[in-house]
Amino acid sequence: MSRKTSKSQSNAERLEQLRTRVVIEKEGVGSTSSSEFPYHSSNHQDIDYIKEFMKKFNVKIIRKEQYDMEFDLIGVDAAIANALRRIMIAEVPTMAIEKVYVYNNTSIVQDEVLAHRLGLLPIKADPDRFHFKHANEPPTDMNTIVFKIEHECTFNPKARDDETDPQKLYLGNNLLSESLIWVPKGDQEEQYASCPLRPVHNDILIVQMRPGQKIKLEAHCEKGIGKDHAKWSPVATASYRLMPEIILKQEITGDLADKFAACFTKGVVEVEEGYIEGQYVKYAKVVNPRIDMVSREALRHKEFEDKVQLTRIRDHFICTHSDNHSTGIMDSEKIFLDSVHILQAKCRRLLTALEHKLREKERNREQMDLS
Amino acid sequence: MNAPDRFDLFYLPPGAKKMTITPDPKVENGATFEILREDHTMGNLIRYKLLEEPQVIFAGYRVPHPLEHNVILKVQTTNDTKPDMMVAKALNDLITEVGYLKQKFVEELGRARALVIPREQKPMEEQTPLGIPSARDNIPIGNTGVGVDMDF
Amino acid sequence: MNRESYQGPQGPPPPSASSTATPRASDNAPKMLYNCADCGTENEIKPKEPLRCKECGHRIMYKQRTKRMVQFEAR
Repeated sequence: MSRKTSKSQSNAERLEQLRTRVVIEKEGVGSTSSSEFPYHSSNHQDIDYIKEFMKKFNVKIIRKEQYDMEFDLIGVDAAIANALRRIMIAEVPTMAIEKVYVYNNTSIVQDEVLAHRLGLLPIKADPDRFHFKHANEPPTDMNTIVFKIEHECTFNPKARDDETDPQKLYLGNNLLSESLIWVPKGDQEEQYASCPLRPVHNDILIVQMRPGQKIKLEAHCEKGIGKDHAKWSPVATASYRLMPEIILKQEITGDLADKFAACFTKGVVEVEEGYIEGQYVKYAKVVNPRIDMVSREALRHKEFEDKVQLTRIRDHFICTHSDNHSTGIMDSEKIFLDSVHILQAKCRRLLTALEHKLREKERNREQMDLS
Repeated sequence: MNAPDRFDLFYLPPGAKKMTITPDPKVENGATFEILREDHTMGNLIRYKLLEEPQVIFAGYRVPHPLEHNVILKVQTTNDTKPDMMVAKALNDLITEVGYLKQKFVEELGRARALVIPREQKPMEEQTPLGIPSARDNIPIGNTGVGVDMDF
Repeated sequence: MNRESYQGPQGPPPPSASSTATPRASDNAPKMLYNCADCGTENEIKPKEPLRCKECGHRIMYKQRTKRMVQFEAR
């Protein structure tokens, strides 16, 4: 937070603010495009951008739980943060049910609907230990996990005569994900002896059944990425936002301070008492701009119009990705590290393609020279 | 019935080249790179990195049609270098930068596990131990990448 | 790593192509079981037999689900 006692800023400061901040005005957002265009004044000839990046860059982990995480990336450009976010959502591989072989299904849920629901179940398996399975390959213990379900719903002999609760009247009327039984193939039995493969949650309701209905099926899990089908996405969501910043250009004192504090999310601005210009008054102080939801409420009031400026810091990304009990397949840090790996792999792949192309051109040119 | 295959988003058809370079006939030191089976993830990233080079006069990308999963990247450079060299430099720089990002992240992970962050962290017993960070580096890249299509 | 190949499930083997003279009807054809629409009992109905439930006499029958394995993509 910075406080300026004079209203005017010098041109250099204004330019610097435009370059590093996204300005939030009453009717819109200004200065959104970053300064990446050719011949920009900051494109000095001799800057080593990598060294600059290494000096500026910082990561701070704000909150880390097993399956979700919030961390700050400071000093990166939006393109990198966005690329990592897109890769986390769509290109980090996981395991999910892909083929369902139905032997018997007399429940009222259609086969294809049942297969679709099974596909969406998160499977607790480390995707790094499996290979991708291509369409023409047979299933092996390195690219497929086999689960089976054999379930039947019956009447509960011990239920009272006038019982109405289906949970007590019938046995097995709710087919839960715990009924997915892993069938180890080949080496899988020893490899996963300590951590058997299973769905992440045991209590996901797949189908509701009634007595006499049977389900018998075999399900094959394969490795895939979110781009192919959303069931393979490891995160419930991955998102980022820019760090908000509230600049008080003048002191806000007295009752206005209370009103000002009420314009922001609770905890962002606090009202304290102290000496301002010799008088003991209440004044507003910005304590925690991070949790602000940037509702721009302060800009709606005439009295605050020229006293406050709302901006966002352009290269400070507050990233969250959470599985929050919905997937829980991989540890949160693993998802981010995998996405970094995949980004590097994609860059290397393009580099190889480029070099290949250049060598081809060289060869063609040599042939032309010879002939 | 008319839906294209989902794997078309990332699977390079056999015989197709991942990257095609066409020098620009009207502009000197300009070239158009057509990259198949990529999207905004890589397009925007390469464009941003290219614009950081002072020798690049023009850099822009577009996805010509959302149903065709390709990226066209147009680059023009000054006389002392060529577009392909700049793209190669941009990709190399990206790999370095992102590698540094990963290193800082892993360091920060180690630090966050060592101290207790006072605010929202759960007590240590409730968190399961992380994998050893160095194990990250042992995983072969090929395992996390997708296509087996190596036809360039 | 051991890449033990595993044959995916296939349906029941196709009927042998070498049945020539004898028509199938007189072989041990599988029993056709139908479910009554009213009472739900399984009835075996032979060919050329009038359609009637053994228990309640109703004349509407449902065919049972096929015993063949069906494959789906979980998408």
